[in-house]
Amino acid sequence: MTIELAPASAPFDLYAPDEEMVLNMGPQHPSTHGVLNFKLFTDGEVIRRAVPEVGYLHRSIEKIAEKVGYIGFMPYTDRIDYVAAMTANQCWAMAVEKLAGIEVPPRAEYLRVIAAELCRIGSHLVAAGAMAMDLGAITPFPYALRERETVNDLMEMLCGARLTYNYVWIGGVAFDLPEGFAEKCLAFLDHFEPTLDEFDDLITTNQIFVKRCADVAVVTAEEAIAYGFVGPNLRASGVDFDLRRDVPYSVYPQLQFDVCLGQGWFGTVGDSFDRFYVRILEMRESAKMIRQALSALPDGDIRAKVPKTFKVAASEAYARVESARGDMTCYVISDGTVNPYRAKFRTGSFNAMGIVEPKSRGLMIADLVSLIASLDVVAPEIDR
Amino acid sequence: MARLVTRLSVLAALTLGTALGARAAQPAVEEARAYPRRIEVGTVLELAGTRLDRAGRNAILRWTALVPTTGQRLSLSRPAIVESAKRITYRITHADFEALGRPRADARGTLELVDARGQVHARARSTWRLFPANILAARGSTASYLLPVVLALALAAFFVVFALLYAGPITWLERRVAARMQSRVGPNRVGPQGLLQWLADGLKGVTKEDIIPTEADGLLFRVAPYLVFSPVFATFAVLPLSANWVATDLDVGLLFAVSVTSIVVPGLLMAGWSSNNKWSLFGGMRAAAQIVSYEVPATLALLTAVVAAGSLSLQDLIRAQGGAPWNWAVFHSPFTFIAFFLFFASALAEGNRAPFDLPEAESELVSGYNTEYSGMRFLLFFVAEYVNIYVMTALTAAVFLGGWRVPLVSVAEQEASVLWQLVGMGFFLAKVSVLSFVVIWLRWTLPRPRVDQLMVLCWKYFLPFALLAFLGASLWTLTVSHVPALEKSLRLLLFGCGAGLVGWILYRAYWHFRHTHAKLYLHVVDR
Repeated sequence: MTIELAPASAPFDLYAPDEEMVLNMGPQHPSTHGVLNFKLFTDGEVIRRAVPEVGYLHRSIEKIAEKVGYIGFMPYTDRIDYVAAMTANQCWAMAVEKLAGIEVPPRAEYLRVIAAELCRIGSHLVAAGAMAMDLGAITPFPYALRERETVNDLMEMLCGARLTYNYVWIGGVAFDLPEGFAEKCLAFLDHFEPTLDEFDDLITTNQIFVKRCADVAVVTAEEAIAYGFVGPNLRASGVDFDLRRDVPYSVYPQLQFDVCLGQGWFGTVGDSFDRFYVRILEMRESAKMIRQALSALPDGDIRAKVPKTFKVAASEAYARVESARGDMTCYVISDGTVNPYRAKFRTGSFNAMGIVEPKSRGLMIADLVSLIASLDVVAPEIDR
Repeated sequence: MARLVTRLSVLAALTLGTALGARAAQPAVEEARAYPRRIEVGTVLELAGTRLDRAGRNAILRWTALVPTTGQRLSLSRPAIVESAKRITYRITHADFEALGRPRADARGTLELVDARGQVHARARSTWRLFPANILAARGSTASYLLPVVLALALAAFFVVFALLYAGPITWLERRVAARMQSRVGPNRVGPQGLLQWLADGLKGVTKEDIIPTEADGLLFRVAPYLVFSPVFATFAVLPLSANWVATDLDVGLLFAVSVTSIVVPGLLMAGWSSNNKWSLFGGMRAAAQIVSYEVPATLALLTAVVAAGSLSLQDLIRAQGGAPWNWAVFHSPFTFIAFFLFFASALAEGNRAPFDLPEAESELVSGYNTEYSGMRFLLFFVAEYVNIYVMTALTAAVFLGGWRVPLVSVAEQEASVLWQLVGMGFFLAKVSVLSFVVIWLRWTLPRPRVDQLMVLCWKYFLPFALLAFLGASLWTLTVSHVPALEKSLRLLLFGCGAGLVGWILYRAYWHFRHTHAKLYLHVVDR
């Protein structure tokens, strides 16, 4: 398999060294979604090369894991991806449970899925709203955040926190469903699903929006695999892969849902629009999953008996979850002490950054904004 | 003394000439042409023919006319200036109007060239529209030169205050409307319903530190805001508020408004360049490219209304329209109908308003050409942008939507009565407000096209359509306008289409209001 890095027919000599303008897009720029820098080499508005510079938000989270212990590290995982913190919680919990051989009660697994899917809805809402805002439509953003606000309310009801939950604990979850949560969650879903149609009316089918996204920065299936794309970005390129279905974990095998793939709705499969719209479709699927999980919720314990500090025999474990930004992987090595010897997180945003440089050639600055927004990267998830 | 000598010698020459040519045949009265059709203080009355110098140096222009509505007879006999064999002129003064009793009327009559002996050499029949004095012209003594200056300054102050009083609240309106559209509340703390928010913001802007970046080109950086601010205000010189309510009714008023707003371009370029910031430079370049490009279809679209009305004066353009909606210029022909939309969209692009706000696209260029500006200088850009909303909507309302015309009231009645003028102003400002609302509405609805898409839209779509509309409107004026019954029915048909369009949009808005899923209050957390 060969990958063409430069477009086959460049409109001009992209590599002419003269008349090149160097621009720093970031670390403080409205559309880089956090502290993230792109060094742009441009000819006027046309980009010759855009080099992402990551690392502005590096906080040594993996190193912290080696110091604070298995249970103590759980709140830090929230900070890996603060837009969808629940899946990061779940990823760490699953890795440690595998390592220590802890069995999670079924009710806790269902609660984890409910929380994670709610969180995915919240995260995709931010992605869709922010993308619309980056393309100049400011109004859809508050609409998306309005819905996310209800998700946050539900999260607050569930665990008291609105952003960094620390809800999934090793061996289960922190709290059982509060009284009335199921009804309110269903009321939200009843309200939310028609709202998505409204959102489509508002922005998805808008001609200017479509023209800005369709056929922009097309990532083919081969490229998506080669560059390590995961999650919605991978599926938008037409690769039929979803961890929840293909590498099943938790109670996902018991739930009915579809894996949404990019169809090239208005352009080519794998363009910015597909990456945007796959997320909208996934929100519907998440809503379906939450309904099923709420109705099938078994009674029982919400967490296994886990001591406050525990030692694990020297071994290693590997856990993967489908986070809102795709395949989030945690690899933990234990040396037999109370602290892990090494913890490694692999996140979708970091890999997505790799495509920016090859795809940016010949794009305009406005297209780069569209590309970055459609990748839905979260700065702390890139750097950790 | 020299003049006396000249006159004497002319007199002598004439006497000699008369004596010599006494036997010559009486010349026939030449049919000449009279210009212009509109008489004001300072108007140069002109008689154009072929051999007008035959009347001699001290010829007289005799103007006699009848005002059909009142039966009043007007006449003036004044020494003419022989410009050439083809051109005899006379400049109308205050005194002339005083002598005529300062009538404001349409008059029909003749302009004759009479020689010293009372012999008529040339005659032109025409109708004239008389305007005793516009606001700027002093009444009474021609010697009072100070009054026009004072009046001009007062008018300028009036319009600046008017513009600020419009621009301020419109920012409040914009923020409230935007908030309502985004299911937020918007500013509601300063004054009732936040109405004074703009004053607070303005005060904050004025009191902020005025920062000029070290590496900026200081002079250009300082000058740029004024170059953006002043041309926008200069258009107020010709923008009418109501019948007679105009600073100066230039006969090329529309041309003035269109051309003076292009002076903004160097201002924006200067702001972008002098900031020494690449994002600002991009913003300035985008602004310049965009304004220069969209000026072309905008002007062509305006010309459709001009050929329909036959004048470039904004007041004439309004007079040519009727008060009833189907008599507005927008429904004059299918071409003006298209031109209306072309102009409105192009005006949005010229004013850098969303969806064409690429020069200040915050997600791409941070804030565009005004990124480095702060305090008062930023405020100047900001105010210019909002005053520009008034300018573009007022131009649209005046040229296409009947301006200050009130239904069922004639132009003469409106011009004669202050009450009708005030009612007309109400109508005009109502139209401006509705259009301003549409401008705001569009901003908070649409995403932003890419810069090349914007240029494609202008050069590949707007420009050919505007050209087509201009040609079509010209042909229409030459053909269909001569068949009143056909014109009237087509006007009504077009009005039906326009009303249907507005109705459909309102229905869509209503439907969405009805079927919207507003915020869900679950009361999950007690606060």
